[in-house]
Amino acid sequence: MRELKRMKMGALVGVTVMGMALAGCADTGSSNGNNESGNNSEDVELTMWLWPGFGLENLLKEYEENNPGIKVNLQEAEYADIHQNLITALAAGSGAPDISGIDEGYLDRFMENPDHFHNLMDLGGEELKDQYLDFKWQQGTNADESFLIGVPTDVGPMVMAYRADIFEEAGLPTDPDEVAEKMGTWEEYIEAGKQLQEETGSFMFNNLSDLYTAILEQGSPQYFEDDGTFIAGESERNQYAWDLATSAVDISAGIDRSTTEWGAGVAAGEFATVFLPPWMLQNIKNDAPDTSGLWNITNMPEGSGNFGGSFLSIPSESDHPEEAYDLVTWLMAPEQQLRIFEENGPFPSTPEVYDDPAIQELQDDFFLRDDLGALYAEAAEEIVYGYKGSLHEPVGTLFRDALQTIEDGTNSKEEAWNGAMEEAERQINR
Amino acid sequence: MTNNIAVKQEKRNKVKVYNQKKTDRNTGWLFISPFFILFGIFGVFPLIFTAFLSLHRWDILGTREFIGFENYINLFVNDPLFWKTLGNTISIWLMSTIPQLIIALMIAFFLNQAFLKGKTLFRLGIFVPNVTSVVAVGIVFSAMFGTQFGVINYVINLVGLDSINWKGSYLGTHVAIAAMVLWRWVGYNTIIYLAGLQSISKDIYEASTIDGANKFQQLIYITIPMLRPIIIFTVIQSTIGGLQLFAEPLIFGEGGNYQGLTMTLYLYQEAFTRFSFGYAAAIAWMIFFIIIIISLVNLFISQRIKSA
Repeated sequence: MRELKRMKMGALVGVTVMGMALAGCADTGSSNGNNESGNNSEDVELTMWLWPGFGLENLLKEYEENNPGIKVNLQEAEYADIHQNLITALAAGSGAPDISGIDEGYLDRFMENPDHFHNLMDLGGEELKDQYLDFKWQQGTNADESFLIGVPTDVGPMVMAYRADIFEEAGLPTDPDEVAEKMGTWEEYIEAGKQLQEETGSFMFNNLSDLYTAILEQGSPQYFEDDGTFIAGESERNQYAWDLATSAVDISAGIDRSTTEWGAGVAAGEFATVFLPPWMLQNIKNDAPDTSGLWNITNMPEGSGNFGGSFLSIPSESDHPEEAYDLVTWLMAPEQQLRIFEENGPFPSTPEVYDDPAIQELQDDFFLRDDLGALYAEAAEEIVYGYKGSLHEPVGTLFRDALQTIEDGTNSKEEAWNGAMEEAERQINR
Repeated sequence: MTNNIAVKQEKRNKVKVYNQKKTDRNTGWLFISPFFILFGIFGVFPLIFTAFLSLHRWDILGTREFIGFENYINLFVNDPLFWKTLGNTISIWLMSTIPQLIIALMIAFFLNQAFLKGKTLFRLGIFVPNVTSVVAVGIVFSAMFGTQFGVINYVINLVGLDSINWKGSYLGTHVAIAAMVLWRWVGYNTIIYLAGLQSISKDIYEASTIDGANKFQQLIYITIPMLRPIIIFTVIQSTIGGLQLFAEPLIFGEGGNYQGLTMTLYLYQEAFTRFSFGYAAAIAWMIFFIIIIISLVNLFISQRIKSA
C-alpha cells in the first residue's frame, strides 16, 4: 500500500503541515465533550491514523452501529506523514492515536522500540496466528513470538504483467503458462529480453533498480543478519540481484517508476514487462487506458515476493487498548478483509479466504487473463519471510541510486558498487 | 486624628503612584512579550536543543547516547557527500541567481518605459509565478524536463540536437532545478527593481536625453548605479533563498550521483528518512556556520560596492 509517486510530495507537505497535524491530534484526547450523539459518559472514542487506500470507511461505520458507545475518529494523511507524525508523537510521549497503520517499510524501526506499543500478545494476540500468512506473522512478531506489534492488514504479492502484443511481435510465447515456463529463471528472462529488444526495439523493463529490487525481495538475508550485522557486501542474495541487474543494462528503458515518465512509457509501450503487486495494477490502468486488452499477467521468474502491506498497531499512549484491539481484530478478520478486497481494496493477508469465489474468479477486462485472483493467491502463499532491519530502506536506496548511475553511464559497475558500500558503511555507523 | 488620616492618605497616594508606574512598565512588557515568547519557543529553544542533540547519537525513539564531537568530526573527515551537497547548493544558487537578477533588471527597465501600454497587466503577469505553489511548479517542471517524454527534449530533438539526460547528469540536473527557481523568482525581483526604478528622478533621464545619451547608456550609467542599494538587497535575499533550496530538488529528484542533493535536503533526509537526529543536528549547525561565512563575504563585497 505504498504510494511511490506521492511519497516525495507527502514528505514535503509533511514538513509544512506537521504542526497542524500535531495540533489537530492534540485535541482528540479530550474530544469526548463534543460528541453529540448518545451523550453517554462511557462513550469511547478511538482515534485512528491511516494513509489513503485502506478502504475501511464502510466497515468502520458498520462497527460503530453494531457497537454503541464506540466512536472511531479516522484521520488520514499521506504515507510518509503518518509514520513521521507517529514517530514524533511516540518520542514526545503524547499525541499518538489509539490505532495507527504502520507500513512494513517502517516496521523494523518500531519493532526495535516495543515499549511504545501495547503488546497485542497481552490482549489475546496468540489466537490470531493461524489466520494470517506465516511471513506476515513473522514480520509482526519478535524472534521468540512473545511480542506482536500489530494486526496484519494486506499483502502485496508480486506478479509479472507483460504486453502480450509485444511478446508476440518478438516471437516469444504469449500464453501465461508458457511465458512462465520460458522465463522460469532470471537468466532466461534476460535472454528473452534481449530477443525482444532486437526484434521490436522495445525494452524489457523500466529500470535496473526495479529489476534489482524484484530479485532482492525473493530471498534473504539481504543487507542485515537477524542480529543486525551489516552484510550487504557478502550477502549472496544482494550480489545475485546486483549481478543480474547490471547484466541487463541494454534491455532497460531507464525510466524511474516514481516519475511521470513511467506513465508515458507504459502508454507508449516503451517496456514490455512490469513487476507489480495487486495494488499497483490501477497505476497501469490510469496511466495507459488505451492499452486495455494488451496486457496479461503471470508468475515472476523464480517465485514471488512482497511489495507493501501494513499492520494496525496500538501505541502504548492509548487509554483504550482493549476496545482498540477488538476493533482492529474485527476489521482484519478474514471475512472483513475479503469484503475490503471486494470493494477494490488491497489483497487479503488471510489465506483461508483465498479459495473464496470472490478471489478465485476475480477478473478484469483490462487484462487478458480471467483468473487474476487465483494467481495472486498462489503468489501470496509463496512469499517467504526475511529479516530486513531498520536501516534496510536507506541502504536499499543507496544500491538503487548506484544502479541509476550505471544506467546513466556516469559510473562503472565497480565504482557504483563501491560507492554504495562506502556510503552505506558511513550511514549505518551514525 | 485628622493628621493621622492625612498621613495615611498621603501614603496611599504614594503607593498608588508607584503602582501606576509599575503597571505601565508591565503593560509594556506585555505588549512586546508575544514576540519574545514565540521566539523563545520556536527560535531559542530549538537552537539550544539542536546544539545539545548534535553531541549525541539518537534515533528519536530509542535512547540518547552522548558521543561528544564525533558527529562534527565525521562531517569533516568522513562525509564527502555533505561537501558535495555544499557544492551542489552553491552551483544551483549561482546558476539561478545570476541570470535571474539580470533578467529581472532588464524586465523592470522595460516595464518602466513611458511608451509601454497596459503596465498593470504586465506587472501582474510577471509576479504570478511567485504566488504559484512550489509543489505544482516542481511537478510541472519535472515533467517538462523528462528525459524520454519531456517537452524540452522534444524541442531539442526538433532542432536536431541529441536529448539531454536531465536527471542523470550534473549539468542537466542543476540547470533544471535552477530553471524552476529562476521562473518562480524573476517576477519578485522585477517588482522590487521596478519600485527602485520609480524612485529615480525623471529629471536625470531627461537631462541625459538632452545630452544625447541613448537607452543603453542610461541603463549602464544612471539606472544601475542608482539602484545599487536595491541590487544589494536582492542579492542578499537570493543568497538566503538559494542556500535553503529544498522543495525543488525534493520533487525533481536528487539523481543517482546525488547531483541534485542540496544541504537542507540532506539534512532532512538524515533526520526523517535515516532518523539520525544527532547527525542531522550537527549538519544544521554546519549549515549555520556556512551561512555566516557567506554572509560575511556578502557584507564585505557589498560594502566595497557601496563605497565604490
